[in-house]
Amino acid sequence: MALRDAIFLVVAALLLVPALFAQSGAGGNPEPLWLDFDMESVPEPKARDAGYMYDFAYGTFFLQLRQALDFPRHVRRARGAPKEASNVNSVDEVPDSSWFTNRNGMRRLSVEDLKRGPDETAGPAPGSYVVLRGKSEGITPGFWIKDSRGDTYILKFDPRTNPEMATGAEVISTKLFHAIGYNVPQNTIFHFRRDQLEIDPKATITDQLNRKRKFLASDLDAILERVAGPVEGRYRAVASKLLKGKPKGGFHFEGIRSDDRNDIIPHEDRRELRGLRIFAAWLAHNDIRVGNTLDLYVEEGGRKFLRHYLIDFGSTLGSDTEFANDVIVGHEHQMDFRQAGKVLATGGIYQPRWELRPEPEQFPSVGRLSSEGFHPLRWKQNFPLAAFDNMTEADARWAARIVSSFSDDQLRAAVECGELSDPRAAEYLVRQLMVRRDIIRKELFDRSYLESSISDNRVKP
Amino acid sequence: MAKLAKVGLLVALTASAEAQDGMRAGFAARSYEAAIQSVSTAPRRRIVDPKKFPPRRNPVLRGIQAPFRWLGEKSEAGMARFENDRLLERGMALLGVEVLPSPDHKHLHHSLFFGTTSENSGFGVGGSVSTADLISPDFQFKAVAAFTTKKYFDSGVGFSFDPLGQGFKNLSIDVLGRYAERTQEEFSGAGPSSFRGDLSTYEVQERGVSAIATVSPGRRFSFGGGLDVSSSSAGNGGADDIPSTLRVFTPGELPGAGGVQLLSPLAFVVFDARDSAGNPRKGAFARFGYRHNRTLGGSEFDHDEYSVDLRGYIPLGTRRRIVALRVAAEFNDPRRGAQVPFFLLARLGGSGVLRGYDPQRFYGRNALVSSMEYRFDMTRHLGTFVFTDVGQVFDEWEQLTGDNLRGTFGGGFEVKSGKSVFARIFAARTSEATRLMVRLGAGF
Repeated sequence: MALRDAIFLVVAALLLVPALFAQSGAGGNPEPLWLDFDMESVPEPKARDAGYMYDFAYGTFFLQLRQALDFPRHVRRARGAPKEASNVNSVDEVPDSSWFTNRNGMRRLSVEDLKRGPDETAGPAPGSYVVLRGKSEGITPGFWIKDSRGDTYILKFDPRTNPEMATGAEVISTKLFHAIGYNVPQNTIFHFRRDQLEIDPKATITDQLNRKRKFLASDLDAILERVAGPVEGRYRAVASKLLKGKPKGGFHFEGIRSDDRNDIIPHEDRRELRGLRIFAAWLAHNDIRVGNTLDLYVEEGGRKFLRHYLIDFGSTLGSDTEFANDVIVGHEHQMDFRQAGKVLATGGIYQPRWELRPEPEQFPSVGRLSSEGFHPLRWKQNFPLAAFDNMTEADARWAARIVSSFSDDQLRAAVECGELSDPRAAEYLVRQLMVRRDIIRKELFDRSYLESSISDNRVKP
Repeated sequence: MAKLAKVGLLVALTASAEAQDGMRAGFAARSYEAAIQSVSTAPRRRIVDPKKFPPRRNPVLRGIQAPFRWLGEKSEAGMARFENDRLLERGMALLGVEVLPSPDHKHLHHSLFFGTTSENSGFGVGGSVSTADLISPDFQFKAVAAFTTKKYFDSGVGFSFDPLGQGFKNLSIDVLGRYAERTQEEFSGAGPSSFRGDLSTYEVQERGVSAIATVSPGRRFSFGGGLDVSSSSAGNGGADDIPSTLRVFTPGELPGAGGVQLLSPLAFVVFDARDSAGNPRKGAFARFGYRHNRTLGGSEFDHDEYSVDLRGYIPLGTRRRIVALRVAAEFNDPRRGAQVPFFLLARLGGSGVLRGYDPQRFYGRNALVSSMEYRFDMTRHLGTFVFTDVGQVFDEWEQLTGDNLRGTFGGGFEVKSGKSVFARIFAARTSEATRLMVRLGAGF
């Protein structure tokens, strides 16, 4: 007996004390904080731009270099002591903030609430629409319209090869990311005829050199020529309602915004950004990057502050916006040095599993999305992100719990919002979301797997 | 007693875990209600102590990040251009396109290029202007000019039209006037036994007009023909450290150096079944060309020119790993008593054919070269390849012996998008040297 048994007893007593206090509701854990009030008024920050090349260069080269030179990080890895998220409360949850609002993970939303999502309207009001601006740069063309209510929307379209794919993915993912808890814009499926559009005499278009010029009828026709053709005379688009506030550029997945006093927690240590990796894997949001986020300077309750949004979900699910996902999407970063090393070392003979059995493109309106071989920790977005690299077991479990909270009915309701005309395609998509959800639940609640997969603050599947 | 202690520990652990779950559930239910209350009535507390999270400033890191941030500025359009616009065949990369509308809603296109105009030109810039649909969808006026560091100058002006009125879908007639100065062309003598130590340079001035009709009855097949009139002359090369060709070689070794005027009917057939012209991963390509060059005011340079270019791309189980094959040949057949101007001879060497030899290392009446490449993608934007080229120039078939054939091998990397190879950097080993080469655009 002696010393060992005595130690057991002491440890047991120490563990029982907080449990008893907790049961009785007194002492022990402090009252958890459920609102991290980061919405104090701040001076208007400067707008900043981060495009595709920034995301590519920073994530692919600079971030990798910086992490390689981060010796404390290596020490933590060697010790097996990851740096946990900073913005969790005493019950290891993320409080609401200008970044995140607990929704389905706390209390399951009704199907109606989920389908409503962030929507303030049912989309552009019926009638004619005034074209305000055009957009010819970037991957997809589009334009801004104003409806009879005075609301402004940007219209984005499907590629000619995959009607309903990008617009469907955008709307479905909007509903799900909102239900998870992120700030997202209102995106709805919208049908219109060409003759409902009138061009504002002051309308401009940004051309390929990002130079503004007058928007012409020929520009409008050229845009409509490039997108999926009309069905019975009506074009299908996703109408994204203009958010209220002043856009200040995307938020970064590392560091803080120095011109925002509310922003004191390094982004790579925010759990909702670390856990976003799991949500992005679930919904195949391969294009998650700075350019697809937005800081919006808003005024609410007499205070002016930045609210942080995820935007542009055209490259989610089976869609890569301009075409269906390539077989490589989700399996490798755009410039994946680890994969490159394997390929180079074997003279090109090495073939990853996903390439040996490429996922088929089942339906044009879905694109390429499969749950076969899916693993949330092996899934990779286009560019490395610091917050994703910092995800720990606790962050992954937090996200997995929220993913698990979605019921089959909720997923079916979200897919209905995508208005896919082929019911088989819709059912296929629902099935993939369910199976991927179940895989996340299974894999990320399996502690033994996680312990072998996650060391320090970098997940190594 | 020990057992009792272990049971106690187990109970404690279980109770602790359950208590935490209970707390989370209880607090979650309560806190959700709290969270949906007006934010303004909620306590203004932070989840972290602001004093423990002072703003982080690292001027060094910020300085390093600055260029990357700069890359983000207005760069979406740049990426779209990279994806969508094919590289010029001559190795000039498109830098930008500017579209200026006219008052009647038509368009004028301006373009800016960077790259090389020919194998030996050095890098330079170029620009073009096209009326696009300014005048008519079936008529375009075009002008292009480029200037390089080696003082090469290439220019052209002309127009294209489609008499069928189909917007150049099946038929295009192109009329183009051109003027070029190539100031540092290299010449080490003609024939397979030329000596590298005889390296010299010459300048070629060329002006001409061509009218060519191209018919495209299908997506993969096209053919055409036309007429070309040209006037060319050779002069002293512009390189200070290399002797002039006109001084190193005798006039008898340099037919046409004094000037050549040619009238050239021509015809060609193209079959293109590649999956992508800029970054082919499977399929085949074939081009056959014929050109009858007739001397204006004489017959001393009359000759027929035949060319063939065959390429095949074989995926090895996956499109990421392929073998690319190419056989190309050019034959110049002078009429009786005539000669082929030395600057119109077939040539090998450089970064495209018989890679690794000096650009324009071999001149000859005929040339035959074959290439084989093993290419594999390491990532979506980075590929690697190893290659071997075998070939030689020759005047008579008897000269095409094993001793005369030259072989090269090497390997390198290529940077690309899904549709286009942007640049290649590779090392090539030849019997004369090992060279590191950079090439804009695809290999073949």
